[in-house]
Amino acid sequence: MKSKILLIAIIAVMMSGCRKDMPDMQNPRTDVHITNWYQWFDSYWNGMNYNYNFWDIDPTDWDEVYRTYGPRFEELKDKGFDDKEVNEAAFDMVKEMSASLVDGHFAVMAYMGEDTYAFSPITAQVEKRDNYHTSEDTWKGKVQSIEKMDEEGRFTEVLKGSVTEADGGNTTALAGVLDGDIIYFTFNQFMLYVHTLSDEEDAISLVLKQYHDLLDSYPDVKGVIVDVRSNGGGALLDLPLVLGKFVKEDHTFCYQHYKKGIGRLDFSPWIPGKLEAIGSMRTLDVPIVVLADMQSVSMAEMTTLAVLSLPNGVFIGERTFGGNGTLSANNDCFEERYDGYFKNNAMMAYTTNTAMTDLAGNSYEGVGVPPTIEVPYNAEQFALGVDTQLERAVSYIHAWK
Amino acid sequence: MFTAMKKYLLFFVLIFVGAESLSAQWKVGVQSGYSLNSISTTVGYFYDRKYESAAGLTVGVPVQYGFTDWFALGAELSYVQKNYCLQRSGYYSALHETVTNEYLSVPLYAHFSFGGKKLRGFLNAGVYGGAWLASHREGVELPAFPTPGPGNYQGVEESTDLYGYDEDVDFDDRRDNRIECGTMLGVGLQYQVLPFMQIFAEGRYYYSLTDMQKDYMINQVPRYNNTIGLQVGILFTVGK
Repeated sequence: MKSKILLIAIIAVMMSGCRKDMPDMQNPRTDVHITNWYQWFDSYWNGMNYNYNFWDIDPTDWDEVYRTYGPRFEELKDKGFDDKEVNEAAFDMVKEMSASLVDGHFAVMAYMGEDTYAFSPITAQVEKRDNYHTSEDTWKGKVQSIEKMDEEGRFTEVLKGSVTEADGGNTTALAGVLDGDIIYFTFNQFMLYVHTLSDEEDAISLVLKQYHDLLDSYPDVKGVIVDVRSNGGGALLDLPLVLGKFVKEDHTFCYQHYKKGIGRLDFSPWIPGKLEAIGSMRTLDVPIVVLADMQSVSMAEMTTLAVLSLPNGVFIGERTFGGNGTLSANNDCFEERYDGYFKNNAMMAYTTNTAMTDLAGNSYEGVGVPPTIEVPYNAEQFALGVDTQLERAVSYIHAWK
Repeated sequence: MFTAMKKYLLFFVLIFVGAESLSAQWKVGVQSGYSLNSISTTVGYFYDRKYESAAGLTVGVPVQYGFTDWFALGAELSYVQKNYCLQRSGYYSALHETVTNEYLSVPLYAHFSFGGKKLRGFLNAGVYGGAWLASHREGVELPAFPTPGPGNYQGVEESTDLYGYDEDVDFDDRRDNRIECGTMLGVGLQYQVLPFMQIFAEGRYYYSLTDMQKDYMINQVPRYNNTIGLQVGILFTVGK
């Protein structure tokens, strides 16, 4: 019997060796001494392998990327970073392997001494869209058409303001009444809440106050237009300031999840994203139109989805950019959700901490939110001071169709 | 992996083929108890998100065929919960998740007993195969849009309203390996209450040899179940 027990023990020991080894893992946020492109590839590939939020929907075969590009980068491991030709060829490979990544915020950068190489797959894709235009094109047209409408007396109760932010950027906002019965609000970036933190009013907080006052008390309102065309996004905390008066209580308008585990497909539950009610003096049973376009990104797209979730919400314009996640662009934020963005001395992967769907579970990541009523950007009409997308919103509100 | 398992199993059975069937008899019964599962894995550089053990339930129907008074071959159909917790620490210690994983398991083992006529010690050693039936999780996470206010906080729960959840988990065919195989070892005491009825108490250890995930990514971090079972049961002699 003893010999049989011994045999069983031997078998058990043999079988315990059947478990797989744990892989070596290096945090890509650590300033490892990356001295060649093979190390660079290893850090980037593994960083994405464990931290990227979209492996459940991304079409990129990341394992195939490893098999295809790993050997090619290995050939460069004796080259260092001093040869510009090598660097350019290597970064071309980075572009190829990253080209189909679906994260609409995604960008990869390589720091090679004084040279920096950068690539944003979705920017390259948006530039290929029909009727492509830049955000500068849109803002130029918007300003021209607003000035024209102002001259024509179509805009009343107008208040506009502009403030230079601490980072040197500019926040611009305008609130007013269009054609006597439509409340109109536009702003260039979601940097509004910071102007509400102080007791002292500034140009932006005054525009916000004007917008809120109009929503609360302007008589005979037929509709509201929130214009986030060519708005590059910004702070999540702005959402209630923009839409919080359209709901009586906190309102779920999307779901988000993030990585919860090391595996590519380990995610948190889908967590409801809520529009916080900020209190309103009345219920506006009128159309709420959001204007957005192909340069409406991130918070501008979330705002679009939030409007679409409202009973009277409609989206007019163009399919949005396609970056719906949220992002903290700082290595120090890693431990909050344990995923997303990473940076070290040789690279940065600008990728979001969350992925998002609408209430029906549709993801628009890398694709953009489609409009309810499509009205393309019209450069010719803009040049004449006519904003065809805004005019369609006006006609929609007056006809409610 | 499975070819190796088959070889081991065959080898294991052949060891006992020669056992003489002097007092061959069938026994069947029920058993139930407590399970305590832990996960063998690594957290890598996701430093403070630890996998912790969690308790569960096990229920089974054992069948034994005794060859001698000291040796039998056994098989079971067992429901075993192999649960675990994911727990953050420090500032994020309010964030946690308890995962309940339900398995249907079929252990095949050799049963050795020793001691007196009525009270005997025993040792079970064998292998098991099973299916991962269902998964459920409940926990607390950060909300989609945290809304931190001003202030110095000791924990994340003070800075924002956390999101609580309690949900069944859909299996992902790309990731989840719903077949589990491994080895098992148990020790315990059995007491012959009546000539046809025996009660027992057993401490058991299931050592999984299969990753809970399919091989779906390069540099995959495997996860293995290690399960302790503490159970009591009753066996009836049903035939010779």
